[in-house]
Amino acid sequence: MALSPERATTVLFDEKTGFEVSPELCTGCGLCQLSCTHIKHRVFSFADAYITIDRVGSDESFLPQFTDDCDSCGFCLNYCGFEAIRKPGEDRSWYIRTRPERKANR
Amino acid sequence: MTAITNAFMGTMLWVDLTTGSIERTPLEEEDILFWGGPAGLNAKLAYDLIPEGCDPLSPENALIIGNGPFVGTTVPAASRPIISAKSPQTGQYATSSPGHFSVMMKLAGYDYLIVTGRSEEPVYLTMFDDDVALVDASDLWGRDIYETTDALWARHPESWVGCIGPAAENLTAYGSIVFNKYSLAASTGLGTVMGSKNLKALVAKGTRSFRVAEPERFMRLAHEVHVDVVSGPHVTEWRELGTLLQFKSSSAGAKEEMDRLDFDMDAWISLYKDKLHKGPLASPQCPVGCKAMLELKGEQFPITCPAGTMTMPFALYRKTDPHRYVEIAECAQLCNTLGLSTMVVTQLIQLSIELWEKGQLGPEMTGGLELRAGEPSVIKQLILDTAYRRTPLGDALASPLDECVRRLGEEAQRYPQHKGTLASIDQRVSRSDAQPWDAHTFSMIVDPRGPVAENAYISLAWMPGRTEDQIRRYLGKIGVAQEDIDQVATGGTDGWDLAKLTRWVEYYNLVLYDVGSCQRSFISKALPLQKVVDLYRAGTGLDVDSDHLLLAAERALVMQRLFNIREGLTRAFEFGDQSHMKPEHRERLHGLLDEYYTYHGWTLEGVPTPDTLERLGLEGYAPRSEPLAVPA
Repeated sequence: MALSPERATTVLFDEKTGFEVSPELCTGCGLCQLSCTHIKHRVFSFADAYITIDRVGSDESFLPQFTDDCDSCGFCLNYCGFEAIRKPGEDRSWYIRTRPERKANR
Repeated sequence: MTAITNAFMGTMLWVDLTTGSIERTPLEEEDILFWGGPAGLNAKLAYDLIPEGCDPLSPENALIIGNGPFVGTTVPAASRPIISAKSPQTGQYATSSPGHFSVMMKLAGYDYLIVTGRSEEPVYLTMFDDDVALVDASDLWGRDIYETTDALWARHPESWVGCIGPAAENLTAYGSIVFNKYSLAASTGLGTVMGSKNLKALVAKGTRSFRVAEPERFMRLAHEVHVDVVSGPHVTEWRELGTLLQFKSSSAGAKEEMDRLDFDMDAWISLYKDKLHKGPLASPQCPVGCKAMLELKGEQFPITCPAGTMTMPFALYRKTDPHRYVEIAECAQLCNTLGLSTMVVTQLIQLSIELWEKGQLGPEMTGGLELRAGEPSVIKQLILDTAYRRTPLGDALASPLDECVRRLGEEAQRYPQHKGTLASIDQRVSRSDAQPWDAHTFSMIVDPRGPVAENAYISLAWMPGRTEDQIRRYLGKIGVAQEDIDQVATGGTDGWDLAKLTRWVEYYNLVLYDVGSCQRSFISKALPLQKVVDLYRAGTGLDVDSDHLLLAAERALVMQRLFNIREGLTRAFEFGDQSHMKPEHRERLHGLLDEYYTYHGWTLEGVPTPDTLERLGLEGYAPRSEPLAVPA
């Protein structure tokens, strides 16, 4: 289940990749896996991805984890609309924020 | 004939529940070129496979699930399968596109699943790559959506599950299929078709992969769409409110009705945000998340359509006190757990309460229950009675509408009906004397699946006050040629020719269905038709342009209509019972239908002309001159 980023309380640090993971933010949408298999293998797949998303418990809660094959390229991070996986300290202020100049045009 | 490879798996899976046979056939490239994707191909398969006039609950009905080329890619929110059958609710074409299941089904290796026949005992179908099996489900029969999903997740970890609940098992006409507990094929009774086949669930887990024709180009285009979607102006609101945002916008034009019901939309929305909403849930591939996890009395439950919960209080709680949000949400949760369309059952319960108040319905029908508006325990009891068909009233409410109102008596038969449903809440809300037929309402009149704006999901028309420039830009984006834009845009604020606008929006939305995309405004704004075409070419490698995809969409619309004509659709049936409307408004609707039919190349009876069928390459599907009577 995804909370808003401000309400996420768990921040896991993945030592191998250097990425942060907040399971509470993950919706299990799978975009990270599909982008991973595309950049690494030029296919779309869940099974071949270097990131797994396991369902936790009986509601839609998920745990994203990087596999041993992951080389920390960070491509998948660009596809996580919920910031469940991210680079520490990265400025993502452009992402999912109202863009007033566009709004004014509508 | 060659199986399509790029952006598809190239395989159709056929399951006959009567014999237990499981077969695979290639998905032909030729079929994809001709139909564009599952919007049309589903309708064609339904037409070919489902015998004319068949009982929707008989083994002869077919359940058809098709996936488009963008499913399972990085195109945002392109995770909608199209599920079709003959509807037990309306007797016409049933179709629904939940935002789930398609990706896992595709990665298991299948673009299509076609289920026919009927199993003697309850079963569920597993699709684990090559391992496809029918498994005994007798221990799951009778269990609700959450229990069934949990049991199947425990048995098949990391699988995706679509199942039915007690409502569909008991053949309630509008039972839903619920995917992973939160994504619903809620309308037209597709779950009930599964129930009639003794098919409790579909379970998929796939480890396959697929390619696109031009990987770099496809990825770049998909990423452009992704960036456009996530940086859009209303993403945060969609996350917070989901479909309530639409309800809020459309109800802005229905202030009078809201005031009459003393309904405080702002109060409801703040309570929803502050007390109920725990966070967004997203469909697969969706970076926005318009579905929601709600919390009730310390327990969390997922919900697909916050606006669906809205119909409950709006319809049933006269003089609504929004502080009763917990009870309202509990009723909606009960419908989801039982696998019952919230919107349909709400309308029928509303009808029952009105009949009770008029003295037309007594305790002999309700098993002694006293009906009262705004009383949650009564509403919950009626939901349960309907799903389990426990009382004469519950059994009536669970029946197709014709049968239901026949059992409820003369007064019930006076309520306006349209295509097998009661005139919807939306129609009541958006109708006004000044503008009785707005874009949303008219699209529901002509939609092949009844009063749910499915093909003509007109995002432009949700908000009043569109300038001519905005209208023209929108039309350009959805692929309308300049000379046609001049016909559709009639000048000034909200100035459009309704019949013509509806046709173009239908085509554009059917293209989105063909590729597997979501239609919500935050997605469609980032997917102008030309972008869809570019992605389609890069994905499939097929030589298509916008005219090609629009023509395929037109075929889909016509094929859906031909199915319905064969099942008794006439102009009178499409017009519905508008006796509650003023004569001048009925006249206006007749005028709109004339214009709409003519602009499509159909007769004034709404039948595609021989010339139109020839232009579309559908000559072989010419309807008989005398349509069947509408089934009783």
